[in-house]
Amino acid sequence: MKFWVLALLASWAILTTPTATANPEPKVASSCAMSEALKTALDGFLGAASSVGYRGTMLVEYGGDREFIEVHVDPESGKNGLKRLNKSAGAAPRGVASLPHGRRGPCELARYYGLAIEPGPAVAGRATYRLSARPRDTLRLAYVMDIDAEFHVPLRVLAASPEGKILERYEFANIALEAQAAPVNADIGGAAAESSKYYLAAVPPGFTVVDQGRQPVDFLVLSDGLASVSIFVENQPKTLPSGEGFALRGASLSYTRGMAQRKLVTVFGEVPITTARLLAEAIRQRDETR
Amino acid sequence: MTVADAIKESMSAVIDGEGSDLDIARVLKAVEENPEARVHWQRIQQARGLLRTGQLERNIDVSHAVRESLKSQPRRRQLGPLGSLAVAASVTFAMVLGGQTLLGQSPLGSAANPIATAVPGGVVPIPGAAPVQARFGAPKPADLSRAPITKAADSGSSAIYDQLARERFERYAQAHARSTANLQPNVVVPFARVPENAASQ
Repeated sequence: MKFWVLALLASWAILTTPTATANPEPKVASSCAMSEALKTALDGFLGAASSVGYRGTMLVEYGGDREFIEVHVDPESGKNGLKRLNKSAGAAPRGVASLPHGRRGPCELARYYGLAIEPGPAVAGRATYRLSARPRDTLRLAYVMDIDAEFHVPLRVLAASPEGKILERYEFANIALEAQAAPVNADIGGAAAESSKYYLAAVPPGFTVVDQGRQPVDFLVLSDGLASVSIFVENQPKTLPSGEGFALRGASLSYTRGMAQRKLVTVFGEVPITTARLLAEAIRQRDETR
Repeated sequence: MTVADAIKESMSAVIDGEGSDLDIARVLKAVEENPEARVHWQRIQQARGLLRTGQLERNIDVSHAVRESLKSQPRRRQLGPLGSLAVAASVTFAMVLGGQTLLGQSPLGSAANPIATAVPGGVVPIPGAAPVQARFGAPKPADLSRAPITKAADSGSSAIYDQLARERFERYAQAHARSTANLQPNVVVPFARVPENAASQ
C-alpha cells in the first residue's frame, strides 16, 4: 500500500515538475491581464537589447564600491565594449562578446514578477518611465528600472534582494542612442554545442535552461527572463569534505557546494542564495552508459 | 493555508543535502504556491545559517519569530514531532538572538560593518550587498566603500568553501557574463561585474 502511495506521489512530481531535459522551454503565455501601457513598455524594453546601439558613461555601484565605466553597445555588429575609468589612466576599451538568446515575452515575466509602470525621473538628461519588477516569490531579485522613454534602454537600474535590500545599481551620466536593425540571429535560443553530462532534477519556477556545454567544465545556464544563473560542475578533490560557501559582488553570487557524489558544484548568478542552494541540490549526472 | 509536515520534512531533507527528487519537487511546488511555505523555507534556511556560522544570513524580524512561536504554543498538541521540533528551533532561534541583543550585540551586526557581520561565510573583498532600503536616491551607507571588511567568524570546511567560492567567482564570472549578458537588463554590466584580474584571463 505504502509503495503505491509513494509511486503515485513520484508520478505526480514528475508530471508537475518541468525538468531540464524533458521540457527545456515552458509554454508561452500569449495573453495576460496587463495594461496596454505596461505591455508596450515591456515590449520596448525587451526588444531594445537587440535593436538599439548606444555609447555613454555609467556609474556602477556594488553596495559601497563604485566605479565609472565607459560603454559602447552595437547590436548590429555585436561589437560591445567597456572601459573602466577609475582603474588606470588611458586604459584601452575591452571588447566583450555575448551569446545571443531569445527574450521572454511580457506575460511570461508577469507570471513571476509583479510588474508596474509609472513616470520616471530624468536620467542623463533624458525622459524615462519607471518599470518595477518585484518577484512573486523569494527565488529571484527585484529590479527597479528607469527606462528611456524613446529608445527603451534602461538608463538607471537598481537590483535588490527579495527582502528589499539594495545589492547593486547603475546609472548613465551621459548617453547617445541610435536605433539599429536587429541582427538576424537575435531571437535564436541557446547556442549549445554539446550537452552537459549533468541535468537538473527540478527547475525553480519560471527558470529554463538556455545554454549548456562541457567546456571549460560542465555547465548549465538558466534564465527566467530577467534573472540569470550558471551552474558549473567539477570533480571534488578527495581530501575536501562536504560543505558550502559563497562570495558576493553586487547582485552576483558565487555559491560553491561539495556534494556527496564527490562533485563540486558552483552556482553563479544574479539570484538569492535560496535559489542557488535549490539548484545545487537538484543537479544530477546523466547515465551515459545506456 | 498551512505547511504540511511532509513539506516541512522535505524542506529539512533538502536543506540537509539529503533531499530526493521528490523532496525537491515538493519544495519547489510549495514555495511557488504557498506563501506560508515560502516563509517557512526562508526561516529554516536562516536557522541553518545561524547554526552553521553563528551569524544571521538575512535581516530577520525577531519579534515576528517570537510571536509565531508563541502563537503555536496553544496548538502544540496538534503538532507532530516535526512541528514540535520547529517550535523548539524557533524558540531557540529567538533566544539566541535575544541573548545577542542583551549582550549588546546587534543581531544584524555593527553599523560600521554590516556586511561582514550580517552575512555568513566569506565576504569577497569588494563591498557588495549593503543592506539598505531599496530605493533610488538612498544615502550611501556610512563610508562602506572604504571600510575594512573583516571575515565573519568561520572554521573548518565552511572557511575552505568560502575561499573556493571566491576563487570560483573569479574563474567563472567571465563565462557567466558571456552566456547571460543578452538576457540581462544591460548587456555590458555583467562584464563590469567581472573582477579586473579575472577579466584579463
